Amino acid sequence: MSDRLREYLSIGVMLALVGFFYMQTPSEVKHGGSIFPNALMGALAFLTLLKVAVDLLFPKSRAAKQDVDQATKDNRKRFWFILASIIVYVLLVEYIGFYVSSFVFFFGLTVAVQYEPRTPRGLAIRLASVTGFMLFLWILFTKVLLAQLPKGMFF
Amino acid sequence: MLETLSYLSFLADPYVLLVMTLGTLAGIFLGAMPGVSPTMAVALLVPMTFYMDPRTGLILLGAVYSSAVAGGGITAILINVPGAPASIATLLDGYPMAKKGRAWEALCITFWYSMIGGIVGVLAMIWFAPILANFAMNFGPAQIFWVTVFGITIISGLSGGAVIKGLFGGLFGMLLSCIGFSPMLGEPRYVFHDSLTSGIAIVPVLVGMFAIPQVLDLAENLHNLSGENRLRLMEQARAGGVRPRGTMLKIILNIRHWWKTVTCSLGIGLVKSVIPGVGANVVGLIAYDYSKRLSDNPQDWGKGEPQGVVASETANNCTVGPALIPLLTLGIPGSPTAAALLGGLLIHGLFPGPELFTKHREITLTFMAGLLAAQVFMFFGGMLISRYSQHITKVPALIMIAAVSVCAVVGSYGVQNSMDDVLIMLGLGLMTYVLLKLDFPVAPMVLGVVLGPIAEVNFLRGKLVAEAGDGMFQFFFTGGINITFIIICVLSICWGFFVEYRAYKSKKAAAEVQS
Repeated sequence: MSDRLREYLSIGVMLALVGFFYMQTPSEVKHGGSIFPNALMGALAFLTLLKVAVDLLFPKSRAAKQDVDQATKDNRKRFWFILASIIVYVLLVEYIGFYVSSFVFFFGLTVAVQYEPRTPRGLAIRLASVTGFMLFLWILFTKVLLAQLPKGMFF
Repeated sequence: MLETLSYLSFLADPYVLLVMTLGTLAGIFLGAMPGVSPTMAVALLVPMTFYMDPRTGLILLGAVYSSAVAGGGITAILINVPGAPASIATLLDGYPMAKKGRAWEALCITFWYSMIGGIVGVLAMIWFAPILANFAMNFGPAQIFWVTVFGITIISGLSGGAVIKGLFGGLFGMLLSCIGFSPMLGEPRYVFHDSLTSGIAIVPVLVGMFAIPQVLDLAENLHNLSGENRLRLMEQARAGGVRPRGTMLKIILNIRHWWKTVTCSLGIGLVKSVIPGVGANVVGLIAYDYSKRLSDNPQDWGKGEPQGVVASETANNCTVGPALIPLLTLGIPGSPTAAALLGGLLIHGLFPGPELFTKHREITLTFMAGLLAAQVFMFFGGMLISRYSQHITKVPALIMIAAVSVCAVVGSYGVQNSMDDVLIMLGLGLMTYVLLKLDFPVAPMVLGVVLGPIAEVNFLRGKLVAEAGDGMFQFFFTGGINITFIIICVLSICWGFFVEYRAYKSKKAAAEVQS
């Protein structure tokens, strides 16, 4: 991504965020509760305009930054897989329970995405380390700190 | 000072000792993991302190904070990758020392001088914080409002080359803090979804904004820390595993040759770190540069000169205490890690400011005493972990990604037992990741969320008083303290613009030369 494109995208994001909050401003709040957020929105809108002006006066380079190497590009599939796994994991915690979903997420992710070749010994070590970590969390949160974690349908 | 030191007796409790030891070891371990910053380590542990007595919880966070800063030096020395941003200057000479087979010496220097820097910094905090808190007792709503604006502007102005984005992030954070009911008038605002009725709690914000983007960043750079690269790093680390006898004694005695470097680094660490927004990484680099200029052998620096490690480590750990002074006295976190620590205060109902030194005096002084003791724990913990430091590089980045994600979920859920908090954490985390990609600094945004309610309450209080008196302008824009804060705010923004303009000019000049 070039510097100029990044700045244009930044302006787009700034506009979107201010616009979103502006649209959500409740019309029924007539008392002092809206003074501060409205003042903030005004300041944010001003900063967005200032950003547009600054980018027009001092345009950034169109050349793409050379900081992304081939290996990083090759890693993108793994990145998207990890991101999707995290989202699915967070959404499932409530339904299948914290310990079960965390175990599946931890073991599944580390085995599915690993760079090293999968060997029975490696899998056994991974299984043992994930079990150990989950056991540690269970002792710490459920037994020592007496925290209530999502139980879901299993555990 | 003596009163604070008397609270060291609290640490005699075996439970507190255990918590502090575990916190220190965890801090060093997490600090040494590339991709896991001290801020993230503190943010992940904040929810855990919810279940503890406030004093024990804060001592745990203090121990993690100081040891994570020092722990970053381990991987900087062994594999040339700073575990924490604060250790950037350490690798300049630490890694060349390791390549010469002097890794153990560099590690001993790291933890010994981190301890010295840390102790001096915490003593300065113990000395100055109550004085500043006493001064802050005179602040009314207008002054407190300007303090919050000052916090946002100075961290945005000094965040380096993105002033508008920094300010936008800070104000946007404040706007996020308005979600829920108005703190003074009880009116609902921006409740897009039922889960937002009670507003956004501090823990999901901290975990989401600090931990999730780092997890995704680790995922993005996974190839650098996996496969053949990891094997190479492990080989490098193994090569640094030799421990000659008497190294520590030699380092302790060498202070007579290195006193100029130590004094210079302590001075820079103390002065620079009080300014909100100047991180330990910047302080470390400045101390390195100045100490090099003062040195008798500047030509050896960068080639494995032990004083380079001394300068960096003394200065970066010296920032731990002073960076907390503005947080404890004015409620302005001096660094992102201090902002995460602020979460630890808030979940126990402790609001930073002069009240900490009056109403909650015992807790505050115990925390300060604990932070002092944490420096000594950090030294012993660091020396212990350094013996096995080459094994730290064996922990795959994938394991860290999965473990941090699980901890982020449990941390955000645990405080209010609410899945909504987990979803808010994830949503904020993904949003922050995108904003970081567009070069929006994250620290002002977190600060905005934290300072938003304080700013709003004091603005509305000030407005009520002003309307009954001489008017808004008279109330908010006159008086020595108000004007001083306004001038500093304007100067920090102008400075930020100047730095940005200078960077733009030099980049343009370089591009013209190339073309």
